[in-house]
Amino acid sequence: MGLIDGRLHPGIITTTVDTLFNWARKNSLWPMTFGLACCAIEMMASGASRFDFDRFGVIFRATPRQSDVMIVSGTVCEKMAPVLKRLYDQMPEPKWVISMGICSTAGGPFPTYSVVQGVDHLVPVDIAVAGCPPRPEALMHAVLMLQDKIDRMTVARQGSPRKSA
Amino acid sequence: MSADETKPPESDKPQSESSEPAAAAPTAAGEVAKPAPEAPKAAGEVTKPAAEAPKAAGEVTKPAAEPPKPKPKPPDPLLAKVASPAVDRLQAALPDATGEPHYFAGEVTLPVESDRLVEVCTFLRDDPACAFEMLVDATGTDFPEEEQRFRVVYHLASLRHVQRLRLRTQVTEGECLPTLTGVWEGINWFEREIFDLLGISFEGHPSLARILMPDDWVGYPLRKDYPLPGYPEHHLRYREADVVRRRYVDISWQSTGERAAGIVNKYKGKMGAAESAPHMPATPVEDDGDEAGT
Amino acid sequence: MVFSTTEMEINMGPQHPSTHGVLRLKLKLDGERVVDTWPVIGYLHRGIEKLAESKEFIKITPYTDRMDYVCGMSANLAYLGAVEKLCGAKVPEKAEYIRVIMVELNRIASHLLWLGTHALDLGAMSIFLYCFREREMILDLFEAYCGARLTYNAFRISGVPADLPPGWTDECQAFLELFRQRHVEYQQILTANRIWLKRTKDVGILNAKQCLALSVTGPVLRAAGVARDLRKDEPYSIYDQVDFDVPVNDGCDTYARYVVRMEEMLQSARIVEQCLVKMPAEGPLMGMKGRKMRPRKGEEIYFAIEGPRGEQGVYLISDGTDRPYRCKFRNSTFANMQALAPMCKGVLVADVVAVIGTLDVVLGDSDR
Repeated sequence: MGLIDGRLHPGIITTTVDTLFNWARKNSLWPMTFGLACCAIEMMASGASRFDFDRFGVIFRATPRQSDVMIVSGTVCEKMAPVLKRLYDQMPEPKWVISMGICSTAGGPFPTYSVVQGVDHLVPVDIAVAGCPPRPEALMHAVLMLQDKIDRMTVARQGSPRKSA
Repeated sequence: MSADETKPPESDKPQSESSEPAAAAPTAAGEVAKPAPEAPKAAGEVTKPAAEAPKAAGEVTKPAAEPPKPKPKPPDPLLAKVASPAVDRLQAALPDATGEPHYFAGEVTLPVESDRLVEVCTFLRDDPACAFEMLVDATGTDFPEEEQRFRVVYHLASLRHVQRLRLRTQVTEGECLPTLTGVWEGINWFEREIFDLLGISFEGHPSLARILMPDDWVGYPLRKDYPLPGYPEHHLRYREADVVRRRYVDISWQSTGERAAGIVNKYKGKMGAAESAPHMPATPVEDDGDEAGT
Repeated sequence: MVFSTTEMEINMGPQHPSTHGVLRLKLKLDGERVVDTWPVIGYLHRGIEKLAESKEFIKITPYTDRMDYVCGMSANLAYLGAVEKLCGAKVPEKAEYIRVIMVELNRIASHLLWLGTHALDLGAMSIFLYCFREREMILDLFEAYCGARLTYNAFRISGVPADLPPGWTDECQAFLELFRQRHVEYQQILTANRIWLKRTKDVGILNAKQCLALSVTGPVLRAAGVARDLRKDEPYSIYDQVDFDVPVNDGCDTYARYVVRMEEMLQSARIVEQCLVKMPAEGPLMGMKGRKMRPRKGEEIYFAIEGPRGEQGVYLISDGTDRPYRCKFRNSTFANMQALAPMCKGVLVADVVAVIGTLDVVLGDSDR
């Protein structure tokens, strides 16, 4: 405390790099609109008037190049899987995945030939939300959980990208 | 598959009114009990002789007390013959193109041979008394026990006369059906779907390709011998090493405020809630040590 | 100076903000004009029909919600109506009224979603928020009745499981009054709006002959001048006892479909109001006692209702057991999407978005 105590102008804030980065990242999570099925409607509803997502800094971006988080909402089918993987690869780091609904978490009620039983076969999932479809409040809870998870990131351990989140 | 085989041969429904158009039974509106030997079974006749309600859809009273039968209840009302001018016109114009119509629940089903399909459909579309401008649906089903394995069914609708008709063909595996895209353009995708899911080819189709399954899929999923979960070797090939399967921790019981305040999952151990999802597979996963919730 | 051009083939989707789901379009373009379109579907094919072959009749109802996820009540009604037709089950009157109220409210909700997303695609973003505001009220009503906002499973074979909760009818009435006012607002914003007219007039033309040839039903057919509505032509449930009009427009373009759907919302409100009044106060809710179902072996039926997108039909073949031998869902979007290619001929790329919106495609409906 001795070195800077009383030396700085009142308008200067001190913090750690980690806190600053995490604060910035978590409060402007831009999801990629990856609405596949019924959960997409609830995702739209959570972005609409009543359950406003914008107050969390969440703005839906259509392109993977400008998005932070991919909310996989809906059933992932075998035909869609390579598309999903390609879109995930196109997202820049740091990126997270929220698996919304039971279809993307574990195949949902469809144990069939054409459904991938869980999107975590394809991409690493950070938060999984249960529900069919999950209520908008549940999706918001997931985003808040993700914000907590981002809070525990640190720029120091940059080995594997997943390790830092 | 007509419903013939499931009906008891004799009709001991004394109060059912039936009229037998082809038999030499009295056609007066009286109650006629028809034992089976009297009911003529013309070759290929599909209609039920024992349980036909009158053509004018009248009420059929249920029989009061009956001797015990294999069938639980009398089937009369659903098998009532439906007045279908289109079928009459068709049978008058193309007499041997179709089989005998089958009636159930107010619907008419006409069996057609696959080589007469285009002719019959063109007639049904163009004839003013039939005027089936719209094809509603085309579906295929797999009956593996029958010698002609697949049944393809076409649902037609006439908007002008507000009537519907169902055409039915059987086809064996490996055989082609003629396409009806020349008659109704909208059957294009329906035929593609039948090809995709059942493997029936349509001769002359402009672009017969898979529609619902991926293009390189092997197998026809809607066949009865195709397992519901599919074959593992057809599923997506992924390498486990590329994807970190994390152990899912149930953090849903805790609010962010509680965790920030350091309150541990207060439902731990209660209500059977485990702190980690017990259904996750026990594969070794990478664990960075700072899991949420615990 | 003459420039030579080559055609360009670009891909739109399956992830795209305006494809309303996972629809992929291969567009062949000459500059900005579309020469040809090849829609690719199947990205949401979940094998529901094959799944239905292994489940009892009553267990298939939740899957129908997930096919056309925007109008789950209609899908439920189509499927359960088919099962009831197959088994010869009768539905009591009060249950029919409750079903029709739910289905028509769902039609309003579905059209609101259509309007919101269609307008959002064409740039009118505030309509999206307004429409969802009304939709949330309807979803509240549904949640009070059956507990779910989107995937209802609200009806059972030969009836409904529960009566309307106390106070529900008053809330419904209040919503309908509010909805009529809000509907006027939507009309004020869009109907005479120059930008809206520019973007929707003469875009995506599909005349009656093409509609019938392509098996297109629903508002698209009615906007081509053909007065076809299964609720009037082949009435099911209690539609022959309520008074409503079927809006028909001759325009054949996107604007005509907009007009038809807007009017349909008002007609649905009218139906709900009548049903709330006419519904018997007391009455049985289930026609079938117990769960034994006895469909005839080997018989097949087809039952169709007028869903928000068109003819929603179910074709069932029974094998005498309590599971269907074959259950085919004839969903409207699968047939309607065949009209995409003819409608997109010669339009600009931005109009492709308008065409997809006006067809009201829901990919769960087409892919099953």
